[in-house]
Amino acid sequence: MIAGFSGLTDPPSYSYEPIFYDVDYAGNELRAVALTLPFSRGRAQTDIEVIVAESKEARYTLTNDFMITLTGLMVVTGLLAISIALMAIHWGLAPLNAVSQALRQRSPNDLHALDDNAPKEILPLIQSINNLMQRMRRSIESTQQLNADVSHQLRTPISEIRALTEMSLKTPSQTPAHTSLREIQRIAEHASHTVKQLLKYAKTRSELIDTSHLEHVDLIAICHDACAQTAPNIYQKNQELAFDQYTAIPSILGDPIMLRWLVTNLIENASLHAGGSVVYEGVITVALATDSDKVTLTVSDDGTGVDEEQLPKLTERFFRHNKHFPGSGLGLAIVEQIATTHSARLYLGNRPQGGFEVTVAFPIA
Amino acid sequence: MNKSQSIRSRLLIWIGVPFTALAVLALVSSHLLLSRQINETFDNMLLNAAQRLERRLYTVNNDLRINMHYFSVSTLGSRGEGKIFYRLNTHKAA
Repeated sequence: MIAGFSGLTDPPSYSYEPIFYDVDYAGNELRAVALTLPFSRGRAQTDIEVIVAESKEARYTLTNDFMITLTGLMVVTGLLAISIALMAIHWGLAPLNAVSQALRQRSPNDLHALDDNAPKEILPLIQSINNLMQRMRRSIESTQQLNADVSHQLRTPISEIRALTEMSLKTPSQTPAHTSLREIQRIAEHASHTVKQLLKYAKTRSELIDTSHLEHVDLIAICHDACAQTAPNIYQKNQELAFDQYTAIPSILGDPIMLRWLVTNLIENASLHAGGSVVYEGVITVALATDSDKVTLTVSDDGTGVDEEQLPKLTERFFRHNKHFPGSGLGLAIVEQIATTHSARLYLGNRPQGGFEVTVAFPIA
Repeated sequence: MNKSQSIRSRLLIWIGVPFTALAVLALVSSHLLLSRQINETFDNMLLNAAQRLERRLYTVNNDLRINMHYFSVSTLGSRGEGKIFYRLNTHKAA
């Protein structure tokens, strides 16, 4: 050995070409190169071997530096890419969001077509929805038209029959035909009432009413109107009509015509059926009261009441609890429909002191 | 994939997963390429150092001597953490 560190490991082979190899020396991982070259020393030929070894730390450090920079760049690029992707998704899905928002914001009974100025990917969806809505609108319109036509076409002949029987009954003769005429008059009156109720029932079907068109209404005025409208009949039957309202009543959102139908139906219902098998002769009370978040309308009587087990059936169509007096069987069904349209709760029950009571609780507007 | 999964999460998954996989692949291949390039460069410098050391050998009266004055080995490791070892010896010619 001429000079250097004697402990350095020899190369794995012997060659005049440079040999690279890995060594461990004094606890260091080293990369070594062995260079062998022929050397003439006088006549003797000797080979000189030069071994230079360097620790690998520098390589590792450099690689790590590069990798850390690269990873950092990638993380930044990745975050940027995710933000761009999120924005792209947001803007790409905007038309879908617009459609779902338009559907969510409209009232459940609004059947107008959606704006079809939309990307071609969702255009078929919008067109299908619009077609469906158009078909539903037509179907509803034809149902309403049919109801109106039938009722109108029936009302006129029934009125004519009533008028004719009334005129015929004015003749003083007491023939058997007279008895038949009276029966015809009774049936015609019943038919006329039923047709009217059917028409009201058809008009108040809650799924056909666009609740966005409800307005602020004054229940007191509506109750006054309904009382005034029904009072002549009530007094004719020797019944009494009372209207109680002790506090100021806030306005509610509603349709004034339908609400008047609701009150008149309740009053007529009480007037007709409160007595059970005999004609009722007592007081019918219409009361308005206000609670923290609702206005309650109560129509009650002092009559015979209703069997408890029959109570749930009262709002069914054509269910008649009291068969002693004529009725269409639609009165309370109409009341229930109108209450549903106004998001009001309907309570039917017997009063503890006797009699029947219907309470409608409207939410305050 | 669940039919009712939201379009937003579908898009995020379909964009995110392949790009993450690509990024990992790019990092692994960069690491391999980089370490090969760096090893080659360092090997060349090591060889260079060995050759310069060899050039400092001279003979005086058939005696082999080495001029170690001002001899330096430059490395890329700029922080000076690298260690250099060397050995010079003679062999009988093969």
